[in-house]
Amino acid sequence: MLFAAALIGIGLLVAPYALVQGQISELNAAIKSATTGVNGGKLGDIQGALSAAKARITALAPDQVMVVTDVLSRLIADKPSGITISGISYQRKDVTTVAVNLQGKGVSREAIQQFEQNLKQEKSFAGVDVPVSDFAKASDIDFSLSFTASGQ
Amino acid sequence: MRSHSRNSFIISALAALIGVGLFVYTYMMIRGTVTEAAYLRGDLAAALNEQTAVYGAEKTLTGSTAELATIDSYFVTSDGSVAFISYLESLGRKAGADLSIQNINVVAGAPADFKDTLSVQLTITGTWDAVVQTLALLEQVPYHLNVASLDMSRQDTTVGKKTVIRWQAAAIVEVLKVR
Repeated sequence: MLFAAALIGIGLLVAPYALVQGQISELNAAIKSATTGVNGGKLGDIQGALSAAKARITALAPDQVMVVTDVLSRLIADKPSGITISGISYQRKDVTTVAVNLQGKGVSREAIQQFEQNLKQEKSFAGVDVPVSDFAKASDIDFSLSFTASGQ
Repeated sequence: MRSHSRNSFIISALAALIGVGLFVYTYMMIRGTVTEAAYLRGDLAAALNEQTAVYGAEKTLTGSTAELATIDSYFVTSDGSVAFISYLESLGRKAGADLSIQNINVVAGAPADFKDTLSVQLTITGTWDAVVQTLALLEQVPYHLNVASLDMSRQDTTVGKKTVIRWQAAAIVEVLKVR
């Protein structure tokens, strides 16, 4: 009797088992369909395009250096009368700093000193320096001046 | 008679045990299958979420074609060096200075990188205003261009009784170039 009951019980369980197995097959098919589109190229393409865009945007990140025209306009604005500039060099040191050297002629020591003071007041300029030896002459003085400039 | 009853009882008991065992086995199998189905539902939900995210990203990328093209325009194209050099020369003319290219050098980036650096040595000759204006135009070109170095010198020449002041600037400009 018990055996017969067990067999009937098994017979009753077969139907839900088959149903669940059918669901598992459907779920596997759905997962395969959902991931094939993603993994089968699309995801790789999108990742590639995003990586390329990121690399380009990173490469375009602006430097913080002071551009040439800014340096030149400040030099001209700070130059007192009696100073003639004869040469300027601008050398990029890194992404924030440039080294600037300047050659010129001053009618007097005071004019050169004034120029030096004006440049020292620029917040973006540092290490403004005129060699002391340039002050040996009293007038018509050839001088050089150097400083570093950093981005605003 | 007693022996026959005893055998029947043993066989019935064994059959009952086998029947119960089969039932329990089948039940456990179904239970395992149902659990597996529950996990698969979770996997499917995750896969669908990922699919939605990927399609969203794809849509965003497709909709950003113009922006990506704008980003690309800041680089010299792989075959655009000559056009770029001609463009630089035109800037000098526009500002009333003489801009001439002295040397062009390609500084290779890392092997896996998408870009190299085009290093252009040039000279600009003209009045102070013309040279400075040319430099300003150079710094505003629609490329990612840096002035790496610049040497400006004043060159006075006397024509008759007049002193003509001209400036010469030797510069190295660097621009990014797609491979």
